[in-house]
Amino acid sequence: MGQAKILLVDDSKTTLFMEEMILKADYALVRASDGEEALVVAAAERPDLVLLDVVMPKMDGFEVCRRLRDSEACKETPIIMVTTRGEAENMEKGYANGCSDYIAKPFKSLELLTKVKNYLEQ
Amino acid sequence: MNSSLIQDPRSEAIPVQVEVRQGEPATDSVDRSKAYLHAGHLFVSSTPTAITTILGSCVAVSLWDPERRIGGLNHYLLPNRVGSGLSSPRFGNVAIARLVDDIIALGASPRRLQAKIFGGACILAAFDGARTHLGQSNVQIAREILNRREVPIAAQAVGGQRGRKVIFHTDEGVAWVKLL
Repeated sequence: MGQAKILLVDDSKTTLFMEEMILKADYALVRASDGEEALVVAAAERPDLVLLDVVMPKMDGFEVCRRLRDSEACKETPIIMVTTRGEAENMEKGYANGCSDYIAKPFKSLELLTKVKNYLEQ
Repeated sequence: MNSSLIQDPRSEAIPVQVEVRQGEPATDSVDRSKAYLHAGHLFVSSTPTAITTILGSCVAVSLWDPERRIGGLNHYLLPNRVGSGLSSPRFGNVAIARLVDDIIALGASPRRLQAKIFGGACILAAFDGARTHLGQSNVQIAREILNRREVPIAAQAVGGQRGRKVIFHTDEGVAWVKLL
């Protein structure tokens, strides 16, 4: 069985780079830099898990999450939302749109890896 | 206000016996400060405060001294600090020990403390229970440490497949839990 595939969605190159550094040894990674691109990449790549930023241009993470949940490719895929501290208070909206869990920036590599493994290594 | 015993039908991995209040509190006569608790933090207060936090696989533990009406809540991400990593309340073993220490420092008696445990969900419909998931480990460490410190667990709202919004009133020890 090949590596599990994770879709990283973030408009911040710094955050994408950081997530890649933490995850690339254990997982295959695909990327999107805004919400619309995320939907296209998700449909084509059918990831095993999505790490989804909340605040992005064109379409925010909550809307992306809702659309992914309505899609054939990601209707049961774990979606972990990546928030800032201030956005964490709004995560009720994230769950209402179908997210599986969330992690607030800044996070430690061990925390992200453990959350991801929790959903992928069943 | 409604007080009820809640069974979460989706919680098969961890038995759920909950004596908390469902939903969100109605406005009452107590003038409470409000605090939002982020992951990796804890908050204790001897003045009436409504502490809110949102949990997925993370766990929050509340402590309350009913005589002094002092309460506190933590919110941690991982069960145990490993190796020589920083001693941070982002880990359950550190967060619970620090919560106990802080509430006692504020005047609570260790003999009167009552605990409640919240969170520890695993939001995967396909999870078959064959493996211990992160949420379970986070709950287990709370049970172990509270048992070791001889703090009774008055109620739990743990496990299941849904996130939770928790509002804890430090003055009356009541926790409101809304499944998300």
